[in-house]
Amino acid sequence: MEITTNKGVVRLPAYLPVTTWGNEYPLDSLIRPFMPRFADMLMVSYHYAQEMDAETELPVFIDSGGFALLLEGAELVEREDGLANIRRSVEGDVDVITPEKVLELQHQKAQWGSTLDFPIPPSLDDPVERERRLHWTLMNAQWAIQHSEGTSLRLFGSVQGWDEESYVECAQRLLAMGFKDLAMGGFVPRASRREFLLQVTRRIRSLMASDAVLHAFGMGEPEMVRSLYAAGVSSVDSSSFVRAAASGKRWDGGWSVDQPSGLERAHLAIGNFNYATLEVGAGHANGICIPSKTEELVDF
Amino acid sequence: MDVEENPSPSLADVLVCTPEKFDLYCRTWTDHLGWLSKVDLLVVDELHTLDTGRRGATLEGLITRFKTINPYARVMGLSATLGNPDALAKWIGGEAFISNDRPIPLSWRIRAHARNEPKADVVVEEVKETLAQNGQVIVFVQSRPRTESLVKRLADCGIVAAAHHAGLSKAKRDKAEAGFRSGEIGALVATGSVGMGINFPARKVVLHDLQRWEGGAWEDLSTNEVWQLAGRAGRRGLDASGEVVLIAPAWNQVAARRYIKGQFEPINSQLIFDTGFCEQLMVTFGSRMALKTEQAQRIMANTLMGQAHTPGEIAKKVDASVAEMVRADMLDQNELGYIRATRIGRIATRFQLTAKTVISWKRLEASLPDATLFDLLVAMCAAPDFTARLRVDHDDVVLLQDAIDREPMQLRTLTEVVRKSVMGQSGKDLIGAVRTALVLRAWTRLGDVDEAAELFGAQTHEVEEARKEAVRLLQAFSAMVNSKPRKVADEGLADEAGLVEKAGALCAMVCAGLDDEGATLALIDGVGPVMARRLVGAGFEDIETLAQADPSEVAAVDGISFNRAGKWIEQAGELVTKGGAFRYREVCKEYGQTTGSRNGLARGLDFYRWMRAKDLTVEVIGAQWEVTGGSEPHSVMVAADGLLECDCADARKGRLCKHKIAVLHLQGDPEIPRFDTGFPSGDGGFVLEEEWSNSAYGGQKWR
Repeated sequence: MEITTNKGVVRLPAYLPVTTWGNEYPLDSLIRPFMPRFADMLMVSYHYAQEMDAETELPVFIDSGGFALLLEGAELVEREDGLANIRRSVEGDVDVITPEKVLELQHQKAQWGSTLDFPIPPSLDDPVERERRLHWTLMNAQWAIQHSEGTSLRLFGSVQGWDEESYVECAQRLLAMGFKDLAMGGFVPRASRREFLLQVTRRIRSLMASDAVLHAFGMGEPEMVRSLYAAGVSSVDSSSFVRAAASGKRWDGGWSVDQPSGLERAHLAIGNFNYATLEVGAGHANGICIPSKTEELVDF
Repeated sequence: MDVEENPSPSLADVLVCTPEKFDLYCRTWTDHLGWLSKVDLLVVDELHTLDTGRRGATLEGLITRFKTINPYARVMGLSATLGNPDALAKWIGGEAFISNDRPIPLSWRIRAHARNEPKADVVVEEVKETLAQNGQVIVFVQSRPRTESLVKRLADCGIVAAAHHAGLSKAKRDKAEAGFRSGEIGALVATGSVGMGINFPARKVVLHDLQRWEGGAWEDLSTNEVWQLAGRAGRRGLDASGEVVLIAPAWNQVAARRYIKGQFEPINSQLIFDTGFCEQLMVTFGSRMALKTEQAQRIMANTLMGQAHTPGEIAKKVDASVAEMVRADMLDQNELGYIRATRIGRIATRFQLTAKTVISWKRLEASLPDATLFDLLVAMCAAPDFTARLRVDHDDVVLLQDAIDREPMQLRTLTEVVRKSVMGQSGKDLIGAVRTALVLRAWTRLGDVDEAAELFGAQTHEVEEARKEAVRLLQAFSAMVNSKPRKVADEGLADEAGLVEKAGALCAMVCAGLDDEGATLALIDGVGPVMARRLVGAGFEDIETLAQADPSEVAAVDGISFNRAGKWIEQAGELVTKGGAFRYREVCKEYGQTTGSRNGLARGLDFYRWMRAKDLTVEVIGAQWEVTGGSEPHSVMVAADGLLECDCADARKGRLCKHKIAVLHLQGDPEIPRFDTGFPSGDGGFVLEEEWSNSAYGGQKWR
């Protein structure tokens, strides 16, 4: 299946490389220029998307940055108008993520976006707090969908939960609000519970339209991705190919590189990404050294 | 898109540029990654140029760099003359595709010439033959002066011919090309280097030379080169075949026959030479593609050179080169092993210097802070990177010793060990450097290459090659010394020039054949060595003379406007008050006179002119003397003030010319040393005879 955006077509299932802007991960700026050869879309977190330049060639999925709630000094702040923010203070600096700010940035820079959600990690066993986070996740979603009608942004309802039923219920309520596409969060800290995640996926997929997109945040390990695709996931995103490369590791079992240079790390990362996408059969990554575009060019 | 017209290649679908220009982008890859990453196909035309010296090393480095930046692109190499297509294809990651198809076949012919038959006659005959059949001819020669002389010869025979070589102005070359294309010019006489880049075919191609002067010896052209030139024969759609004529001596046809077989030489990496390897290694650090030796080892292992060596061998070579460049301050390595190119390193790269030369110059600066012009010149000619050093025979030693004993020179104050470390050479190599320096010094004093060459028994083309090399190294030396913080002397009071100024002045002198005084003109902004020479020729021999000149006089010189003349005179005045020309005049300790020959011994007796005078014949004709034996006969007479007067150009500049010296010698003038006794000798702490017995020629290749 293909989804057309104003920056090009995204072929499904899609494996989205995570990238960042800014000075925190300089390696990303070496990798990104090559990504049009290997990927149809980039995943950028709200935090890094703020420094993103408009010149990006590929379509972009900007998440809500709700992940920040798991960081130290962060809290969910309920607002009187029925929405909720994430407020984070680090050494006196206060950063507030609001549903408005997220949606505005997505409208400006993204082709796909997800609503501001509040992750519920497995370690959170306070039932009141879990319900509270789910409640505000849905409240923010309700507001966002009302405010993005008629725009080119493809808005994903963010799904959170702590067990199968809560995930499914969240998905049902999002669909009832009018969301067509959904993005499932909270999978990374539950990665070891593979069967649980696959079951959640299967049940949510069964609720959705056949041409709707179901995204799983942060899932990149090839074996798991393959299973998720089989369970109905249409797209995943991951930065683990970069993290492996930063320490000189290769996923294809080839020689690892001792003290790699910046360029070597970048190409290791691209190689890992390419390996992963080929492994999961996402099928349209261009093989290293034989880019299909080039083949067309010199076919004589 | 042609990058010359649009500096931003990111919008182009196809980029056409020289390897050097593309390399600039690759060297600054972080600024250009946005579009370099999108390149799918790199087409390298004339892939065989991989084995042509620095250009080849740059091309090899460039392809390697590009593949390091963007390993996903394909590389396609094109060439008509590759001896090892499979090896090259493997390197660029492709397959060899070979076709022997030629739209217009070539017919080859060897035209023998007898010992007593000038090659020019053969050329005239061949050109006439083709012109009679309404064809055109390109004659390839291996030297620029030869293009001119052949054109003259052809013109004498009524043939419209033009010269074409890289030394001509663009306008002249364009005119020659246009004339040839329109058919107005029947024969084009070109140097080979130009032939490569230009694509205008002719019915016939004549190769006048099958050898070239290179690195101090005659060298056969390679089959690859001959075929590249021959490839200009035959015009598509006009000629049934292209004719190639090789002019070869009747007594030796072997080499010429070998060319026709078309067995191309393998294209070898130029990185096997230290200069190329050092430069490309510097670029990997300078461009921040590698920050550590291990990273550089991996990049260098991907070069063409890396194909013929194990990664271990490459790693060893990288390690040794890095260590040497760190010693030479070209690279800086911190305690974590991170490496950076220094300013000196970048200068060395720009001027193609290896660490060995940089190290010897560091020693020179430290050991000889008051090096004289001659010391500097010897140092340049002795530098490991000087590729045009003259050879010496034992027979030369006496003459050379005699000459250096007369040169103001700090070198002789050094012990042999220090001298060797400062010069980077010893034994015959050092004597070769001395001979080269002496010839070049003579050129600066006489302003005539032929005369300077003859003085020391050298060939004109050897001196020409040495001159270019000396200029390159002097420019590098000036830039390098200039890049270091120096003690700022009180300029107003300084009467002795510093090393930077000396190197700068010497550079102008060697570049244009200016003497110590004339070189001072090049101190003026906007006056290059060539303009300085023009000013000297017009009678403004030094900065002091110019400072006192009238703008209208100066503006009478070709190429100088009244406005410019005024500015220069003003600047000259300022420089004179700061010390001016006097700063460059080295006081010769032996005699207490300048070697600049204005007020010297015996009214300015100069050793070189005295040497030249020995060969002249003086005849008394009435009240004057007729002096012959030089390039032209000259007359010397007694002027109204009782002093001798000569009609040569040298004398007109107020010098004691060789003709006057010959006459004074004939008169038995006590101030002119007798020709049979020799010029008064100095103490000579630098004994060449000892150097000679010191060693055989060093390991350095003579090129």
